[in-house]
Amino acid sequence: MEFPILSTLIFLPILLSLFVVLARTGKQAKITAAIISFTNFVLSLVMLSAFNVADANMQFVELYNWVPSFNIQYFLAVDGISVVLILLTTLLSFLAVYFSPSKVDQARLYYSMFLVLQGLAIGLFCAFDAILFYVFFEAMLIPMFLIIGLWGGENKLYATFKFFLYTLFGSVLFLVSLIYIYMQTGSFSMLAWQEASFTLLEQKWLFVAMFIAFAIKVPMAGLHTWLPDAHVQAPTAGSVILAGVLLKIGTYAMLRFLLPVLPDASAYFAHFVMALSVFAIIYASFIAYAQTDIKKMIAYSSIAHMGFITLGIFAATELAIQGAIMQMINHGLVSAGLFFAIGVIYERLHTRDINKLGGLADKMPRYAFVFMVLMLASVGLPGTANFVGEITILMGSFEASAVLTLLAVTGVLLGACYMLKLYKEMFYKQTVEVAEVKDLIDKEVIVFTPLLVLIIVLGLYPNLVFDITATAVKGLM
Amino acid sequence: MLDQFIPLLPEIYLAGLVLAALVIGMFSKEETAFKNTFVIALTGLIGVFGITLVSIPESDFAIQTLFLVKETTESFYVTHPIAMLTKLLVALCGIVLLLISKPYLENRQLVKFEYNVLFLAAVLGAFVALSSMNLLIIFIGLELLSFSTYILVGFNRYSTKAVKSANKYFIVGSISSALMLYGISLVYITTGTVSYEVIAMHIAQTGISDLSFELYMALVLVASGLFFKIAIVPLQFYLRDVLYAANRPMLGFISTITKVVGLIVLFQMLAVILPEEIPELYFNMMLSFALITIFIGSVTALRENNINRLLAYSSINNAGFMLIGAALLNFEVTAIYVFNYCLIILAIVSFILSFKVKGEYIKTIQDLAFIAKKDKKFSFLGVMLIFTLAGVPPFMMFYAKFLIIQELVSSGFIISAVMAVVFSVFGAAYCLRVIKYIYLTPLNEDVSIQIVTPTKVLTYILALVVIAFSILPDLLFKLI
Repeated sequence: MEFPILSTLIFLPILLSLFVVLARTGKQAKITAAIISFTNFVLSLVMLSAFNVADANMQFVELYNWVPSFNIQYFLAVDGISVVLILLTTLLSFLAVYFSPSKVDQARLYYSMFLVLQGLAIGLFCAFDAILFYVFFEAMLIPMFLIIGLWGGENKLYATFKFFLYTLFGSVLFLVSLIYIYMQTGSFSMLAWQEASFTLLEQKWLFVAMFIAFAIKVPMAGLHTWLPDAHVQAPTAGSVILAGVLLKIGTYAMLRFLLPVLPDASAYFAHFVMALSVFAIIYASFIAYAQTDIKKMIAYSSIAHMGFITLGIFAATELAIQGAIMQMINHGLVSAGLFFAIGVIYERLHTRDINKLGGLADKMPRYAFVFMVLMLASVGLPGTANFVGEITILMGSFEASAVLTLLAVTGVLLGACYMLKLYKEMFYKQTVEVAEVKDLIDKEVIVFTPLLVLIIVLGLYPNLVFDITATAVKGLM
Repeated sequence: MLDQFIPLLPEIYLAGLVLAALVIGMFSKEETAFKNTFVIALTGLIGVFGITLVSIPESDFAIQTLFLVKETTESFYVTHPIAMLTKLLVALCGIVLLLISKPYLENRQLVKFEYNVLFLAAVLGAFVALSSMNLLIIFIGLELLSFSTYILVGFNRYSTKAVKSANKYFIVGSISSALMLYGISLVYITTGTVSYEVIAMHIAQTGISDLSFELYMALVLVASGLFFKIAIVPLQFYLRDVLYAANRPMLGFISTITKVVGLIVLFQMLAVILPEEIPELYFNMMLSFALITIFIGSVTALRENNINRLLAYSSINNAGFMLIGAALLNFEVTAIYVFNYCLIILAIVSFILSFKVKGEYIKTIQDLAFIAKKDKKFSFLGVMLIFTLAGVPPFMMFYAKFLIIQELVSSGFIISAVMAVVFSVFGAAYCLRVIKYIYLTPLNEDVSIQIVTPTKVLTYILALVVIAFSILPDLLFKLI
């Protein structure tokens, strides 16, 4: 029997979080959690090295009967898409834990929740049994609910309730669709579902039910209102995981459920979803421009960037989907970096209000440099990874709809508007007097380095991601 | 001659226990009476569990009939796996509730041996009601169950509120019994029998569409008597007020044993008397009742602060899901749901009763905040239990709800399934509100908290069982 690397990746952090609970001080808890999540990161690299990019089959398959009475299996496997997302998850989880202060309230619970969340997210990315997938999909709400609710800002209760109920509402419809598909196919295996054929009417209904669930997670325009609240109230590390990992779940599920299982309905609704994505890009960009709270601004920019990803997915050309996956990784890196950066400034000055910040370029030169790279990446400057992602998506979606692509391009411009404004206000505006602040300390430099390096490296050599995902994307077509 | 009484063993044994407890209680000294009868009740219930376990008939779902009256072909008393499994569950709930009761009664200075006697009598009533296919015997069983619980609810007779609760329960319960009895007499008038099998034959011969109005009416009345026990809307109204000031362990009793007995009796009745071709109207009616119950139970709970009432609403909400399983005549799914529900309700009741704030058991969900301050691990456990009740995966209630929804979808009631899951989001909302008070509300007041150790240990044990079934839901499916 092969070494069950996927189960290890999932359950190592979940089970070892017990050790974190047993730690005596907050510092011990943090160190233990950091070691565990770093080990998991290394393990995911080991998995990457063992992963065969040319093989179109599922790899590292673990298949056991879990609830035989109801045909539910413990079915884990990965393909290229899963692999890159798992790597993103382990990296960001480690950074989030490492970045968190050790003096947080109830530190033991805090760190164990992050570990559990990490395990569940990895589980979701490699589950190929629909119910197992659903269990991870839902279970993730619990640690996130507690993270926002316990360690969030002033209005945390409102935010965490909204977050939980909004996502739960979406996912229950998803559950009904899963059961319906099971009734038709007699299996919960997501691979078997790809062979199933449904009438167009069935597909349309199933599509609507599932799409609502995923669109809430992404979130797409109209279903997005939980996100700014959750982001603003969540602690820094919570925001990082939320933006970096949890938002990808919606788009990942679209790739796994909507395109392969319901191809006709996906084609039927493609233009609608693409139009909605373009609307999200433009609408969210305008709202972001009007924000004075930096975190809210970045939250809205997330909605706009996720709009690019859904645009790419539903353009449904190979190029566009490649770009969408690339952009999932990029958005994970860049938004995580931006939320870390906001965390840095909030820790020092206890404000996120743009009007109260200014002239930071002189006081914190290193910070200004880091922020600049992140800002330029977010805008999609050539040389950064986001440029590659966006250009691939736009090239791909141009085949599907030239008009919508043209409109989406304005999103890039609007992104530049608000990000440059943010940068100008924070770093060069001289009208506001800001107290003396320390520049980035070593710990923060360590957190930002891998993010910046990856952003630049992927910008210059995007094949690092494309090579891994190419075979899987071909399989989706 | 005697061997025909063997299937009756659990009931005979229980009846003997009731009498024994009564006699021993009366002849013991006042200080030891409670303790002695408690030991009898506890060991007795464990014994009943064992006897029931060994007397489960081997053949699957075959109805074994015991003829007590030779001349007729009607069965007065039946043993079959459905009844036996439910009896096992009732016995288990009884054991757990007795264990919860003891420290509670001691703390409230209510140690009177009558408690144990009445408790056993209530369990006997449940057993009798479960093991018959004859409406009159069922009625007797339900009355024995109800009368004992009326007294147990108001066991603290010095509290006006508790007596008020018990009185209300008694009066409303009597009305429901009257309705049921009236229904039974109508059944007798129209069909000349009170036995399910003969009623079923009558219905099959006449044809479902040609039944007389009286028989329809009669069956509706009998069903409403049972709906009252299960607390299905619109016969759920009493539960909120009864549980409000009830003796606390009875909160668990009424939410688990009484409800389960009502449900399974209803299930057996439906399973036997419904003809093969079930009219659409039946499903529409039952599912509407169930969905309205789920909706009312969860929406009314949203603004409730009193823990007893909140649990009452939660039990109404869950009754809706159980009714779906029973209405679709799928015993497996119903049984799994019922088992999960009983386990989690007992765990939560036990959690609530395992600490006292300022010398008193807690009353409102705001009081729960104190436990989080005192004992972080234990309060985390409470939070997990409430997430379980909300039906969030990976906890076991999710699988139970999942099966109910699956049953609905596979029977073709997709819109009902969608409504049920959407309403269950409301259900999750009130559970989250409880978690908010346990965990997310900062507390500055410093109060003394006493831990009731035996109940706390019991909570841990129940929680372990919950976790075991959450990780390996298949265990439960195999058991059933």
